[in-house]
Amino acid sequence: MWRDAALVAGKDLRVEARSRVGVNQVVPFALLVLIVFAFALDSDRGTLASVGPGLFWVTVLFSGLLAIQRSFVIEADDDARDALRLSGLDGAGIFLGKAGAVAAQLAVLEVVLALGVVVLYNVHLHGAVMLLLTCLAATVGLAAAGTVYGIIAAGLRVRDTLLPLLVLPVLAPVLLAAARACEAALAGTPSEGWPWVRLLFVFATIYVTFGVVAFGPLLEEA
Amino acid sequence: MNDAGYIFAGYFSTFAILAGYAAWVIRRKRSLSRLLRPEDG
Amino acid sequence: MTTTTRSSRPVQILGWLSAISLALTAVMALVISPPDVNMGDSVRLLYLHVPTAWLAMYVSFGVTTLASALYLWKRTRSRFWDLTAGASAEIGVLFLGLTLLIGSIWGRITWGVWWTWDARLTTTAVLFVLYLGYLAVRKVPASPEVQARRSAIVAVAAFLDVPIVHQSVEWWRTLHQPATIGDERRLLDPQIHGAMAWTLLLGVVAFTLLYCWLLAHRFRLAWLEDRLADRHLEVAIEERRAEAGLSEAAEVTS
Repeated sequence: MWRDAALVAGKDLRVEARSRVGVNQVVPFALLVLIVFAFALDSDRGTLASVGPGLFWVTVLFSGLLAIQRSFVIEADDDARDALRLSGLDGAGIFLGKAGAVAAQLAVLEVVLALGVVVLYNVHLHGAVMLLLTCLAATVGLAAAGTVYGIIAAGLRVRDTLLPLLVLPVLAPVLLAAARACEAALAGTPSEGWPWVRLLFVFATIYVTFGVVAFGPLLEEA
Repeated sequence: MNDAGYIFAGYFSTFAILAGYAAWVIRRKRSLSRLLRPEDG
Repeated sequence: MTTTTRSSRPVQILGWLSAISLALTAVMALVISPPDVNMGDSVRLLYLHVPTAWLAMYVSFGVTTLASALYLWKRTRSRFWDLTAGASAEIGVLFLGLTLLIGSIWGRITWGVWWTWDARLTTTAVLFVLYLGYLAVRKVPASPEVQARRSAIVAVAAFLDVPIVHQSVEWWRTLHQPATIGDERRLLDPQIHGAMAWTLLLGVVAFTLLYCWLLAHRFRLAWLEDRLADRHLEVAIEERRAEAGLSEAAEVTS
């Protein structure tokens, strides 16, 4: 299973690295969203700094949707999904590989966006441990839930509109928890943040488990 | 009764929506069974 | 099952019972029961709000989850569970929409605003969109087995999310402001005026009957739709066969 996961993740990341869609389009889009928020809200740095964590996670969420869609679009051409299905790879392994690749892309995105938030919104980073744990748990949760819903929507004519409708309500608690945990960490009140970090880990565990169990049958029919 | 307007509006819209839904289901059901009937009996 | 236009006798009786009990609830709620000491007349809306919320969240979505799980389990897999899950979810979304509507009117009277980010309101709203997504998945055309399995998995995934949504929203609100008033459970307190508790109970019974009646009809409709799709398929296959038969016959004669 782990070997299969590594194979699939390596394949997805290699495709991404060669096509450069992530670097050329998704990352610039995410930065653009940060700038758009600044236009929409207030150029006053105090306002932006105080809502920074929330905006950061909203941006991660929307750019993450693009990454998830990419992850399944690359298999839409040339019947690559059929090839994947027939490859004899373990369903759970394919899930872990695809989710892992999405998580890796999200992690890169988060680093770039964190820099963007620090520079553009004048946010000062505190509580590195909590921030890192929050990002880790939220990224795994986003990638796992996103991949489960990604395969459900993949191959449908309506996938571009169906995926956000399915995934955003499910990810609402992740957004809430990650934003609150980051706020707590930045405000220097970590005791308020730990329950949220725990919640994120619970979410990630639930959806990784669900994906491992359900991905095989879902891939069969996608 | 205070706020009678709001309360009656609430009751009215609830029952209207439920009745509308029930009517839609039953009407559609009838028309479908008529479509199926000739062969199905 | 036969496709008669009339519903079966038990369903008809159920329909009448729910209509009568709903009418009784309305009379009890609007005329007989007294205004609440704290909430005043706005309490009358809770006789709708609580039953619809209870039915949507616990009964309808509970049935959807259970039916989906039974569908996914190979030993109990049948079209029946898939159709039940879909019918129940649709009624649940309808009831949840009504819950939000009534809650919103109630909030307007009590808090002076149509919406507050109260923990339970927010959970309800998230649930509403979650199950709208489920219904959207059910509408995507696919072969019956594929669609049923896909929908069942989405239903189970949505159900897994419910406790997390609930917990996160609960913390979110309690961290920022004390929990808002309006604990409906207070109404069932024996010390509350008897007529209020009875009205609420009657409301729950009436809406439960209504739910069962609607479910019977909605299930029937889903089953008919299913049959009709099969029929179209059969007709199409017949036609193709006839075409093939014609061309074969033409080849033989030529």
